[in-house]
Amino acid sequence: MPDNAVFYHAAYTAAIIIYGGYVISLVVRSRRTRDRERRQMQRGLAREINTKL
Amino acid sequence: MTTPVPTEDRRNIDWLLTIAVVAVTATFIRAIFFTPAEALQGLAQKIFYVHAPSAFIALYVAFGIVAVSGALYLWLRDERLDRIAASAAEVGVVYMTVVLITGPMWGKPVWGTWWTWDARLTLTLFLWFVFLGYLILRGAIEDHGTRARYSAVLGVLGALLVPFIHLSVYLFRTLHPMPIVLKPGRPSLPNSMLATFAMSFVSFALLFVALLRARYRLAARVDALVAEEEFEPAPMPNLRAEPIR
Amino acid sequence: MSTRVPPGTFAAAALIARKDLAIEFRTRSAFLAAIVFSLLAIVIFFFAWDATAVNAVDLAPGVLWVIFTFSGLLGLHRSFGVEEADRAIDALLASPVDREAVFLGKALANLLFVLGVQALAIPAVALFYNLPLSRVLGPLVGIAVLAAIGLVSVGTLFSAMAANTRLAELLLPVLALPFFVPIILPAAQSTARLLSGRPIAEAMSWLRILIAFDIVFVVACALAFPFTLED
Repeated sequence: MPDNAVFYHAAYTAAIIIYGGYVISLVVRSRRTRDRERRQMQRGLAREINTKL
Repeated sequence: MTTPVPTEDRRNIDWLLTIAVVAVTATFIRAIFFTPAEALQGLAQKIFYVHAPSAFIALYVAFGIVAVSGALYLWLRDERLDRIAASAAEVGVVYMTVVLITGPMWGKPVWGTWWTWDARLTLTLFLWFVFLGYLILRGAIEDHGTRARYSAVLGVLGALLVPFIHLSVYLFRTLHPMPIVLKPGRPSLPNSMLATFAMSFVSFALLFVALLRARYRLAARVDALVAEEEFEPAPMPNLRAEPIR
Repeated sequence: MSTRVPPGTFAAAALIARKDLAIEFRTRSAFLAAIVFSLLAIVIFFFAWDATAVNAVDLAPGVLWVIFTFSGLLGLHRSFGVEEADRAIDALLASPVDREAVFLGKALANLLFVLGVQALAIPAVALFYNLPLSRVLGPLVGIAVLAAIGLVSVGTLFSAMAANTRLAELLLPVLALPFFVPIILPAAQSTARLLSGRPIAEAMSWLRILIAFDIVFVVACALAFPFTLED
């Protein structure tokens, strides 16, 4: 059996990093969007209170 | 002030994505620890379990979705179709990047070369460029309608390009045969390898669907945010922020 | 004043092409830039290879087609960039002509631009690389025209798109170059066959790809063009 484990390890590492990185980036972006949604909701609430006062 | 935890937070956990990640992890574990190595190619053969499913999904499924939903968008003008195309392109780039990185790592020990200008490899490379151009184009346009129309046009033209690139690189290769390329005939895989391969195919397909769905939902939320912000009145200027000179 | 009938598609296309060429002819900036660029590239390419190791005849086809591609891009940038100033494109779109006619007119002007660059660059390459030009001139012109048609149809469409983005001229090569592969490859390969004294029949399969590409992409780009304009 030829000894080429290096390539195999490198390829699996690269695949895990890329797929994992993308999943993490989606989670991070989703968090950031949720924060924006919250801020927007709070701004909306504040406006509503202001107009009622 | 403590912000009350909204009930929607529990829905924010993407169950499909979680399942897909678990499935892919299980595939990796099976491929690494519980699948015998092939005698002729050694351990490098195991790259196949990551490379081949990723390649199939990126080249056929992702690219197909981009082209078809682009064409449908130009016809129906439904922004959901544009979001699907954009999500498929982004996830497709991720898959194709994995294909292009793992491919040479398998080619070097088995073929004896990192890269060969084989018709398939070349096509993959150029589709990767088309996909990247697609994402760069989207990033360079603000207006949603323009962005959707332009990227749909590019997606459809990209699909038309595929046969031409394939034909010309195929002709190029047959006129200049590559002596180093030693294509191994696909031996009938033993059962344990076949099972791992089937498992990796299913789990990577599941991951694709989950990522596509997650990316689509994100795009929908961002679009809703932007649409809402356009209706908001401009914020009051903060007078204290600007020092008087 | 007589009431004038709006011109038909092809007449309108010819008018638009004439307008673009008139602008180009009066300013001459892009054409001159493309010519100087081509000459510089020809010279630089020569020194980029070891002239004693690689025959100039083997080098020439590649050089020729790389130069055409990039000088073509130079001209294509301007095609819609020039309409962005003062929003001239709005006036063009408000005129009673088909959107397809705008595309054909723009593409025709670009085609003449690229052919003009080729008319000067091919003799220059022949001169500097010592090519037997007279023997292959006829077929070479045919290849150049076929390649230019494909180059220009895709390039015009993407130029219209790139002009409306934040990246503008930076985006055009990124979008267009992958689409130029099935043009450059057949063109360079058949030029190489010609220059090494082989009969044109040997390059027929390459030429067929080129012709098919032209037909498919001229039609596809003309149909897609209206989508790239503001509704």
